[in-house]
Amino acid sequence: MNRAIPAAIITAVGLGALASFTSTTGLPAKSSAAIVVPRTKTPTTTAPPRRTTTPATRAPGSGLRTTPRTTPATTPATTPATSPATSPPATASQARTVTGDPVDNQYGTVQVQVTLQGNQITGITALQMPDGHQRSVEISQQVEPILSQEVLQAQSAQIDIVSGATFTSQSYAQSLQAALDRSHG
Amino acid sequence: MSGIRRVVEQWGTVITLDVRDDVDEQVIDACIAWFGRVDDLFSTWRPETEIMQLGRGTLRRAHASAEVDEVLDLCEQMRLESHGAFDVGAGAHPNVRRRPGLAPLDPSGLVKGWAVAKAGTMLRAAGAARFFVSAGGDLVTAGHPDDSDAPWRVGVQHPWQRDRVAAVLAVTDVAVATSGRYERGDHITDPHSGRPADGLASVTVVGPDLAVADAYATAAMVLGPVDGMLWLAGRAGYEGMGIGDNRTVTTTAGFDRYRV
Repeated sequence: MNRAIPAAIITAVGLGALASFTSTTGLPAKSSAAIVVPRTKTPTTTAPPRRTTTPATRAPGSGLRTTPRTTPATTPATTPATSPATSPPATASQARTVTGDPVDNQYGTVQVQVTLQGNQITGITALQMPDGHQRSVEISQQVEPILSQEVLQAQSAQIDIVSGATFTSQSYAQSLQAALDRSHG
Repeated sequence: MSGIRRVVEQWGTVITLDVRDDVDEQVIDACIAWFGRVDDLFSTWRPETEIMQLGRGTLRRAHASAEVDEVLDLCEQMRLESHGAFDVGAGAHPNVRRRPGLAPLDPSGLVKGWAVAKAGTMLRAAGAARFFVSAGGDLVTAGHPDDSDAPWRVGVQHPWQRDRVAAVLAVTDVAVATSGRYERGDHITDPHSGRPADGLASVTVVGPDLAVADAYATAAMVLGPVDGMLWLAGRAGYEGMGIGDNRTVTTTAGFDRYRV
């Protein structure tokens, strides 16, 4: 992993977090910039800190961070959301960044930076965008299914409302929102 | 605690109004009547609505209702902001596959959120301070669910497990909109199949205005997991969470403040 990664052309491939990282323009355009990162095995580090500081962030809130979550969240509601990563991460999962060259496309100049924790992409920062915005997102490795319907029906609901893709009148009956509505009936 | 919860079928989905204050039931009825008017103006399933007449060219914009004008203005704003990813005219593009309900002029990606936000305004005007209104998963919240200062807890539907949520948000006085493909039986990539994932299963947006949040969620879905989420991260006042077909969860930098 110490070999130089060509930064001139960026196309991040694989890595679970981002199966493809082709277009970074914020526009529905074809690939204009990409970072190629060699595919590696899935990291097996245990319980990395949920939040880590991305050192490569150039401006507050401009770093895109991906935080691997390797533990199943059986009690997600109690997951501390505020503990900062005060201890340095293990060497294997140390954050590093790869910055691509600015690339011109039809919309303007784009430059992105990828942050990696170990072998996983832990962040993408759009350093330069056609509209001048810098921006950031975090990425987790897994969507965690939590909260069973049985819990809702026991009227010990931990949620008041459900936000989701618009259900149809027909599928409403099977929806979590219906279960909540019934429990308040 | 007293209060009113009303569940009504509308717009091909189900709307839940839950007001925790004592308010006159008439305001709830007025909200429901409002939803009916929105359907009369904007439904793409009924040929006589203004939006369908505009799409056919049998009604001129200048003669349309003020509500239609307002929505189309907002749609144009969203189109420009999203570089065309949100486009009410998409249904007229030659490369877009025809399907029932897809009209040449189709503000469906925004109008539901816009209408629910208006209902929230009506409830506030009637003195309600603690309520939510949710139309098929796009919702506004106000105040707190009970006498404590506890926030509303909003579960984000898990895309592949109907009886689960993927996240729980603690919110008050904000809107939450989710766009997703899973409810409509669209293709869903098996996360374990090893196939390259290139899409978003759902996008949830939190922010002050439900109409905007709704449009942002739609646009981010179109733009995809990287472009869409990076674009979303540039929207001032709004935060988002995207769930990828490959099960990864992408959140904008400020989203965690809403997560429980």
